[in-house]
Amino acid sequence: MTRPLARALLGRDVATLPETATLGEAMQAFETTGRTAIAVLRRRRLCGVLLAEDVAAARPSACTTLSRGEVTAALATTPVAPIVRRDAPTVVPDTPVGEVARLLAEGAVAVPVLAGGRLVGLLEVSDLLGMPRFHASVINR
Amino acid sequence: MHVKIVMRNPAGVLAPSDPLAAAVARLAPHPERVLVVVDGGRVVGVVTEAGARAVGPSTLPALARYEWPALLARLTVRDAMSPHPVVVAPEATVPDVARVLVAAGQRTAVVMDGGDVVGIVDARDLVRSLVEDVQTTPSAFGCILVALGLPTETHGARGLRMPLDIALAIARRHGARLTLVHVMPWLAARVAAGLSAGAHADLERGRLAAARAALWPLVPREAARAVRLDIRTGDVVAGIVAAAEEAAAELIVMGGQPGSRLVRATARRAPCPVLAA
Repeated sequence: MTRPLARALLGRDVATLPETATLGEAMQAFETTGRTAIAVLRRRRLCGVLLAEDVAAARPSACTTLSRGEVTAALATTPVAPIVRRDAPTVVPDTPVGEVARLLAEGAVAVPVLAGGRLVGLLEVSDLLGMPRFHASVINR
Repeated sequence: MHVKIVMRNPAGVLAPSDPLAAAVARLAPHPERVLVVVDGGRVVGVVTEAGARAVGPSTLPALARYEWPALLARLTVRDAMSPHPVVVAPEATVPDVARVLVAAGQRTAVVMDGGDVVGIVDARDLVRSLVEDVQTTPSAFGCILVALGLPTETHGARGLRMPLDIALAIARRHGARLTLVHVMPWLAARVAAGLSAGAHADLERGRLAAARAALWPLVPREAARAVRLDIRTGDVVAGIVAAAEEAAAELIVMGGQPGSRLVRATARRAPCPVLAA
């Protein structure tokens, strides 16, 4: 009857950015953390999720007419707020991993984990795939 | 489970020198799909919708206006592809592919049979297959029994809500049937069984009807089809235990403290675990 819970996946510190962060700060955060999703906070409360792929799509491409200095300036001043995804479903630490898997399988980009309204984790597909003995753990409820 | 069960068709096969616009056009109707890039008969990369967006013009209008359309038209599949994709055989298992993708830090694997591309599988496909496994695994509980008293004049149904709500939530979660049992110690056995019971029968039938009328409204309308009401007479503990045995209940939920006399007596004789709420 024991099923793995979301808390079993909360091994590492959750990466966060304020809603006022810029594209440049987000690019640096993704590079530093190696994550593909970062939680975005407003007054310390979760307000959305930022994806690395959305940041990559938002930055000026190699075909921009901006100079290198202008690109640097644009990255330092352009806020990430317009590309923050604000519809991510949330779970609590006691949510079964199977339920988290269902949310991700149905299209959730990442699943924030909240304990008493406080952000304690951000789960991605890679977190489930990296779970030790993942397959057996999920299906053996 | 083998990966050939969960793999999908790729959105298409392109060469590295093909224009990126061709890849974008193929991915547009199915952004969740993946293009396989083949060069000289060898798989050299994959292109996802995210990869194509990353090399295209900025998605922010304030930055997109500085993009040079003539240069964008020169972008090729090679510019957007993720090189060195993970390649697996159709017979590879889902956990094996998951491990390989995690080790490689990639999300998509190309499935090849001999020298032919037969499908693609990404991390979300693997998770989806595991969810399907969970959903087809039989429920742990097939039948749950919840033992309730009657609403009182002083507290109403407050004391009954907690065990009933817990039982309903567990039953909903497991797709289990729910039997709601109430034992009336002073009710004539013949009345409870629906038989004629002498001079006091009308009075007792009235009490039985009143008990039914008090308990049914506690059950939410949407759950009523999966709930059966069982009213018994005689000793309370014996009635609960007998109802659990007859219903083949795998869990009894009842009100009261775990250490109370009624809960302890029921737990001692019950054919299944007892949850006191």
